[in-house]
Amino acid sequence: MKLHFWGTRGSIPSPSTADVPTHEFGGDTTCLSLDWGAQGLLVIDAGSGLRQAGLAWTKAGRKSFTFLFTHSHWDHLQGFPFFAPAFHEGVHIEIYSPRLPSAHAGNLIERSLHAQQSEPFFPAGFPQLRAKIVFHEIQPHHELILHDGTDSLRIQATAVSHPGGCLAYRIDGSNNGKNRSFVFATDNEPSGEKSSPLAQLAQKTDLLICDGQYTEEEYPNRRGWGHGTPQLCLREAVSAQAHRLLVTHFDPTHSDAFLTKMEQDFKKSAQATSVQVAFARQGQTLDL
Amino acid sequence: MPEVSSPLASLIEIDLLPPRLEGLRALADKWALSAGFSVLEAGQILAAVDEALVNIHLHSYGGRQGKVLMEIEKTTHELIFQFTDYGKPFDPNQGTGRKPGEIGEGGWGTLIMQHAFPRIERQHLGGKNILLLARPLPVHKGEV
Repeated sequence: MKLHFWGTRGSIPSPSTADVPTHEFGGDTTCLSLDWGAQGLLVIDAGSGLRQAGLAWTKAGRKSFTFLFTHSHWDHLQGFPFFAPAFHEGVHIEIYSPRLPSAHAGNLIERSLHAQQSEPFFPAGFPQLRAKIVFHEIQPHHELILHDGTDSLRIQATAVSHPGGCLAYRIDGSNNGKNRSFVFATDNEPSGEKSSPLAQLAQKTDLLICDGQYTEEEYPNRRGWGHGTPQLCLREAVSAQAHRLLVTHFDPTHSDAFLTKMEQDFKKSAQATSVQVAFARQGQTLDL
Repeated sequence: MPEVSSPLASLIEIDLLPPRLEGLRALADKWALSAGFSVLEAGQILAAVDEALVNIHLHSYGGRQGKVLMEIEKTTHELIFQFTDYGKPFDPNQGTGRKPGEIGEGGWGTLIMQHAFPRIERQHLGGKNILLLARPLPVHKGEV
C-alpha cells in the first residue's frame, strides 16, 4: 500500500509567500490517497490538494475512484469542484460520507458538495458533472470492506472531538502478504485519555496520522476549536502503542522554518517513547 | 428486497406499493417499541411513518409503483426515520400543515407527523426527495 499526501495544510490553502514560505510542508489543504491491491485507489478528503491529484490521475487515464470523507468542513471539500475526472463521462466515483449523530436529512457530503458547487459560488454546478457519482454513508463503529480482485481493505470509524463532528478512520490492508494499518485522525482535539476512542481505534497501528495544528503555547487560546498539538497526538500514539506518528493539518500562519523548528523540538521530546515521530509533507509518499 | 440491519440501524429499499406498507409499518413499530417508547407513543410514530409512506406513494409517484429507501437509526438520543424517493419533487411551499382546531380538507398528514416527530426536515437533492423524521428517545425513571 502506498500513501500519498496531496495536501497537509489546515483551515485554508496557504500558498508560499515571502513572509510565510510553505514549499516544504505544503500549502494545499487536506487530501491523501492510498494505492492498494492491484488497482484500488482510496482518496481521503478533498481539500485543495485534490486538484493536483485529479490532474495526475487524468493524465494516467484512471477512471475509478473511491472517496472517504472525514467531515464536511470546507478545507476538506474545496478541491472537489476542481477535480478534473468528475467532469468526464465514463468515470465512476463512489463517495463514503460520515453519518454523524443528530444527522440532518440526506447524506452530509452529498448535500455539502452540491451546496459548494452551485451558483453563486461556482459556475459549473454539481449536476453538470458527467461522472457517475454514487453516495454512501459510514457510521462510527461500523465496518466497511472494499474489494479489489482478491485484495480487500477494511475501514473502521470512530467519532472524534471536533465542532460539528468528524470521523477518524482505521484502514487495514496488506502489502506483499504483510498486514498493514494506518489511522487517519484529522480535525481532532485529542483528550489525551488512555481510553480515548481514537486510542482504542489506533491500537498497535503501524502509523497514526494526527492533527497537531497548534503549538503548546498557542493551544490554551484555541481550546475547543477541535484541533490538537503534536504533544497531544503523541499521548494518543503512546496510549495506542502505535509504531509511527505523523503530524499534519498545519496552521496557515506556520512557515516552513517555524514547522521545521517545531518538528525538531517534537522529535527530541518524543525520544523517551518508542514512537517514531515526524511531520507530514505535501508530496510525500509512504510505502506502508 | 435488499435489507441491512444492525442493533443501531436498519436500511431497506423497496418498490413501494400499498400491499407492502404492512411490512414497513411492522418494522417501524418494532423499532419504536425497542427504542423504549410506550405503546401509545409507538402508535403516534407508526401513524406518522404510515403518513410519510402514503404521501410518497400518492404524491411523489402519483399512485404508481416507485422505489423508496427507508432508513431507521437509533442514535444516543434520537430515533430517526429517513425516507428517500426518486419521484416528483415536493413543493416546499405546500404541506405547512394544519393547526389543531382548523377546519378544512387536507393538511392532516403534516400535523400527524409533527405530533409524533419534533424534528422534521425535507431535502430535494440530486433527483431525490429526502424526508427525515426524528424523535428524542424517551427518558425513563432513574435516568437523568
